[in-house]
Amino acid sequence: MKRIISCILAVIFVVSMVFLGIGCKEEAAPAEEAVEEEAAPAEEEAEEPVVEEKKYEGVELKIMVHAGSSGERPIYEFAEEFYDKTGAKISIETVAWENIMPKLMASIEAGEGGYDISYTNPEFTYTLWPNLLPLNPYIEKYNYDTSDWFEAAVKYGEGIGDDPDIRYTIPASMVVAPVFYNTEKIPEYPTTWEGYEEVLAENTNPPEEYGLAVAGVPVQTVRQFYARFWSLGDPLLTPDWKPLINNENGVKALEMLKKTIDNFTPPGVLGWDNPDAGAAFASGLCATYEGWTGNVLTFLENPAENKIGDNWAVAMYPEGGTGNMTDNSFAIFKTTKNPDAAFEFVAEFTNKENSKRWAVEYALETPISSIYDDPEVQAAQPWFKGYKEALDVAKPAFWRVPQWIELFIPTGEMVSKYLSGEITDPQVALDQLAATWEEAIEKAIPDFEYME
Amino acid sequence: MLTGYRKWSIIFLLPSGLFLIFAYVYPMVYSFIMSFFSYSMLIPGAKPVFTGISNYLSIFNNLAFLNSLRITFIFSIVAIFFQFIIGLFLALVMSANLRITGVFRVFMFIPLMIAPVVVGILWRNLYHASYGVINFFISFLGIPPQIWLGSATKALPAVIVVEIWQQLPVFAFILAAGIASIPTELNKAALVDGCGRMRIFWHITLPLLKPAIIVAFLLRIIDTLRMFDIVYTMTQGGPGTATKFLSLHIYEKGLRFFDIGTAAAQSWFFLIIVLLIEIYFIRLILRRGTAR
Repeated sequence: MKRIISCILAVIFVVSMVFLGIGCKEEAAPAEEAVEEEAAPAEEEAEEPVVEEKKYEGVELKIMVHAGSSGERPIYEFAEEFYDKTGAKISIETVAWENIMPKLMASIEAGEGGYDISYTNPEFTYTLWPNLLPLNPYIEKYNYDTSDWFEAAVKYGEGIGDDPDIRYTIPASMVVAPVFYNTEKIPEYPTTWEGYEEVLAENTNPPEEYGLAVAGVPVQTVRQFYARFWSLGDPLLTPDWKPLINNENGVKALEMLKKTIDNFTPPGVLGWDNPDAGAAFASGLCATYEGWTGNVLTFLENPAENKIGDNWAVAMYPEGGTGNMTDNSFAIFKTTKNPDAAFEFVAEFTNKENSKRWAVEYALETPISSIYDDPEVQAAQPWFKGYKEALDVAKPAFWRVPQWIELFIPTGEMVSKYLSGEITDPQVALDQLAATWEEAIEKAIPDFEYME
Repeated sequence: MLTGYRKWSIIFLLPSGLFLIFAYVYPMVYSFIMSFFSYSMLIPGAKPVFTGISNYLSIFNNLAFLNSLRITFIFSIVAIFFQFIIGLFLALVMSANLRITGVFRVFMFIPLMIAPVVVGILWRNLYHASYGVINFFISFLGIPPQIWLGSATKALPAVIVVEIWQQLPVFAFILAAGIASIPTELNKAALVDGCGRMRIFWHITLPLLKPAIIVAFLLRIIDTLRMFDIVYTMTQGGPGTATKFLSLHIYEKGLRFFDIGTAAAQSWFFLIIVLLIEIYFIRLILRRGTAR
């Protein structure tokens, strides 16, 4: 028996060696060919042009990109172009908004092994700026042009951190939530809240049609509330950081929003997230949509989802109202081994030529103001006209405050509590919110005045 | 001196031991230490400041935490109660050796095989007030369309239903295994003595099923108290705070607000509550073991 087993094993061994040999031979073949290929050009060396080594050959840049942001697809496209042009290999990691801060913090702990560049909202830099590369020297070195930026892009990108003149970010897109409206149902967009409510009422005939589509999960209600509050003229806080949100305008704004949600939106919107709202507008169910552009453009660009064709436009909120503005910016980490390559990537991606290209191809909302007036861009993205008007009045919430998220998320929660009836008195809801804000601000009272 | 056997035991156990220390013990010890500090990582340059037990004391004044704790317990108790009742019924059906039992078991497993995030998204659509299938079906009963996830009163029951649906098989299979382990002689003897089916169930099956019931409760309590993914994808804790479970609350404190000290103290407080419940159930199991 032992002998039989030994024979079988020996046969298996021999057969495997034969196959292994064949495998080795197959693998060896290209190597020989490679030698031949190498030899061939050597004969023609005199005629062939000398191949120049690319500027950043061997360099690798790791970029964290805010998943789902309008810059995501252009960054992927540009990464390949940048590699072809400079030899710098770009590895991209897309991260959901919820995970951005933990990822960035972990990356900072990792030091040199972490990200070289991040592409996300600048609010995160209010905390992370000590780990970021000041970009002013690179802006000068590369003659990077910022002269045509929106005022907000210039103003809110500087002064983060200790030094008011230092800039840590280069914006690629300006983000504000405007109002999308169905031009067939609303031929003339109203300029007052009264008029706005009138058109919403005219277009609300349940269950066939409703006036407004909004995302109603807690965090998404913030901008709808701010749009109404800011249009009434008050800032969120006093210059010495005392909440104004619970004043009579706050109560009025909250009641306005509740009236709108209760009367003019489809049932269940408080459980809706952004895609639900975008789909409801694109399907023609709702005459208007208040929310981020990307969440509705996805549906409007899809013929299967878009039932309203080209009959839509974008406008700012009535009476100068605006949701909170942010942007999607590039920041470069101090730990990067290749700051020049990183800056060149950012600078080229965001230069005027490419910004126009991204605007036309991907509807990237560039911070370069004049691009919005470009006929080619306007032809490709007619909604940019209204979006530019919305950007002109846009302002950020809690600019430069590192604990901004502790002010922002409770706002949505408290607004949602009132809208859902969990709290019935708007004054009580806003007093609770003001107390939460005070507690968060107390953690580190900023040494500068609050401004919007 | 270590003997050869002991020496090699230690050498082979060392890699997994080290892994456990770095992956579990160290973070737990670190979070316990941090629970005595005030530390907001959002503030640039902030350093941990020792504050003693103030993070723990603040829990009792923290209405948001207490509200989340209340919601979590309501969710856990209601979900487990219904899972037990329905699970026991299904376990009895599975133990009845019917022709369809095999197919039934396979179908029972399906909800368990779906990732929780997918379950959340799936049920979000089923509950949709305008196009949700659930409103379509209840319309046949003459019930008007309901707002499920957008309502402060219906959102929590809606999430409980999803939890019951997905985790029901766990209860059913554990109890079915328990029923299978009951000696058939007991049932036969009871039948010979003239006991009815219900009497056999109440006086033989149920008492002998107690260890399996306790194990099922133990596992389900741990799982329901740390519920996160389904509710996050379904409601994000809303509307308002109607479905803001403790895991969401602590996640927000720790990984959104980076208030590390408070989040650590709240986690430890919660862990102690869960441990006390678990110890109670484990003692029940051990007591039964000793009684035998």
